[in-house]
Amino acid sequence: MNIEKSLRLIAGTPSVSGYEYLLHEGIFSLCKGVFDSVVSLKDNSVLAVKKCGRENAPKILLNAHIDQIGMYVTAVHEGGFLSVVNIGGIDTNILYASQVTVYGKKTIKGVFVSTPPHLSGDRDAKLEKISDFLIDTGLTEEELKDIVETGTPVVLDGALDLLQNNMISSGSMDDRICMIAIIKAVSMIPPAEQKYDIYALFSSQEEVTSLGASTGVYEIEPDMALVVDVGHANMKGIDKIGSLKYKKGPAVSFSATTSRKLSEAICRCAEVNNIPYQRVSEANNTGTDAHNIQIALEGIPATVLSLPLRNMHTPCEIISLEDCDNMAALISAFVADGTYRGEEVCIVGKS
Amino acid sequence: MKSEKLIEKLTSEISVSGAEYGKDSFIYSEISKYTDTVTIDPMGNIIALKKSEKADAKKFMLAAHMDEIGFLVHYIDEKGRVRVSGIGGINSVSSAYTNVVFENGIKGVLVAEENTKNADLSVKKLYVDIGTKSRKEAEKLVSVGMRCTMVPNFTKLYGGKISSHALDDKVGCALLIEAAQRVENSPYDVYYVFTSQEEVGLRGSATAAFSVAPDYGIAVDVTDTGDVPGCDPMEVMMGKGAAIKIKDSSAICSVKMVEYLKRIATENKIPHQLEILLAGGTDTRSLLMTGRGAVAGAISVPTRYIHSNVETIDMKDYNACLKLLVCALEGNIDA
Repeated sequence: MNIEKSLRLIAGTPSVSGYEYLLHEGIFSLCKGVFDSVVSLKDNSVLAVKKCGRENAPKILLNAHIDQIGMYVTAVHEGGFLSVVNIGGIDTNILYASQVTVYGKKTIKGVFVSTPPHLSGDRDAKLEKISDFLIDTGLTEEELKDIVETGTPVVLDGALDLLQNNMISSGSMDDRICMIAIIKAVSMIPPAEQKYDIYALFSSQEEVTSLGASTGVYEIEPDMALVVDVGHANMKGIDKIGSLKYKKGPAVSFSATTSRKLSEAICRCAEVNNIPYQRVSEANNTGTDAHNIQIALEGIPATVLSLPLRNMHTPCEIISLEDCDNMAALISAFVADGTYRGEEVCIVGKS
Repeated sequence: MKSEKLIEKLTSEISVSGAEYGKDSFIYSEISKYTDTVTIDPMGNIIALKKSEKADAKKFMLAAHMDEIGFLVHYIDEKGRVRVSGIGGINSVSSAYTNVVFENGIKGVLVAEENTKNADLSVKKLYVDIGTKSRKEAEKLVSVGMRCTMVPNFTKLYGGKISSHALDDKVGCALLIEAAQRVENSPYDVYYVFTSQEEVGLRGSATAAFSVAPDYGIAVDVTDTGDVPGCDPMEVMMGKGAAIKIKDSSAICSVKMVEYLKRIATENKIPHQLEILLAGGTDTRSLLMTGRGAVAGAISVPTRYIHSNVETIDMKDYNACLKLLVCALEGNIDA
């Protein structure tokens, strides 16, 4: 399975939180032949299952989210302008003059209006609110009202470009790239080696509420969970303390709220299989679906594997294909290893 | 074991959120003496059950969190200095220039960068000097993700007051252990639950309450006081007895539980006061809100200087809380 090709297959399809179903067809085709079953869940997540055929095999939840940040239309204004609200975290500094696609009854292109530099001397230097921005689509107010309504999703355009050294830049890499890494990992495991029943949950709404992961975990009742998401790669402007390095492999989480035993088991597995990895510690909240998965039911041992990525939540998120391959290799090796069995509920009786 | 000694033992065990050390812990060895079964769940909660003599007894869950705030190794620099991030609500002023100890026993001093003004002090400005001079040397002793906390500093003050780091919530744990020792003939199946990860979002209590599914619940934790210079106005005072919680920023207690605790305190002549905590949440929220929910409230030990190294309580209040807890478990909330 080629990661770049897989990315290109779904690169043009939007999946703003709440509209993940638009991506389902693409996910189904990527999963074809890899899993025993693939189904859509009621809250727009996708659940793909591949059992190992062993008796009493632990269930492993492999999770990546399929929603992307974006915007919803809030109003159509006089003169044919649209205003929007952000869905997930967006830095309004990147919006001036950026290109967007509006997914209404028809798919149309638009641009955020931006005052030319000749005239922008008085522009308030402080961050503007997203409600202060307008999108121009070329249509009149009447024409627009036939195509869009309140809630129509809008996405920042972010073409997929291959940079040097096998780095890729694209929008919505967060977190589709990790979904692809999971599918690749599952496709790589020789059936005889698979030690866990695999439940791949491609979850909805991580960017807003973690809805898909929070409910999906109750469908699955897993014994352990690996949450695969992107993490900040080091660059100017980001504190080097605690940020990730490209081409050093996936980052294993050692946070206050991730399972220490599971993380250690993954590190051991990486060492045995000569797969590069790095350690990262987010103090209290990993900011991923792992936060809610861990406290579902009676508690699920959960940890996070992070893929280094620059420019998060922009149209040019950059990842290294080498890191993706190592991510897939590590997940695959861990499922084949099977030493970690989850946390026994330990009951000690006195009588 | 005397109460002070029990608290001293509890505060000397490292239990930063997420690394609560279930089965090897002192808590485990103590509570298993006084209860029928002890369960440790995947979140690391210690759930000890004392069954009632009564058939079909309702379930009463007590929750005290065993985790404490602390620090997590974040980055080791080329000179062997260890950068940390804060777990839970860290008071940077109190943390600067203190002795710390890591999970594996390695000692260090937590210090601030030179010339940092007090107003600019944050965890980012702090680092741990463990005596190493290079990253290589330091990495042999500590690794990214390892936790550290203050070295034990339990101290007896004048007139029955005590001071230590991590009284939040080791006094709650001590109260549960002592209650389990004393309660006789409870009409309830009592679950003494020592919860994990309270300081990072009331997390352990959520899964514990899910598996226990209690009818009634009491969280036992510390609360602020309104009797120190510069504090916000608050009715709770150190030395005025057990605090019966009305609300905090995470929950409004069940009126039924509040009224029950007031009645029990009055009937048994236990010094008590009513508490509204403006800033801070407790496991009470999980008891009230998990699954189908429970009638729940909280008993709090009035505590000065919370989240500092020198949290201070009056043992008179501790004893009032203990008596209230025991009487509440032996009484009948539906009477």
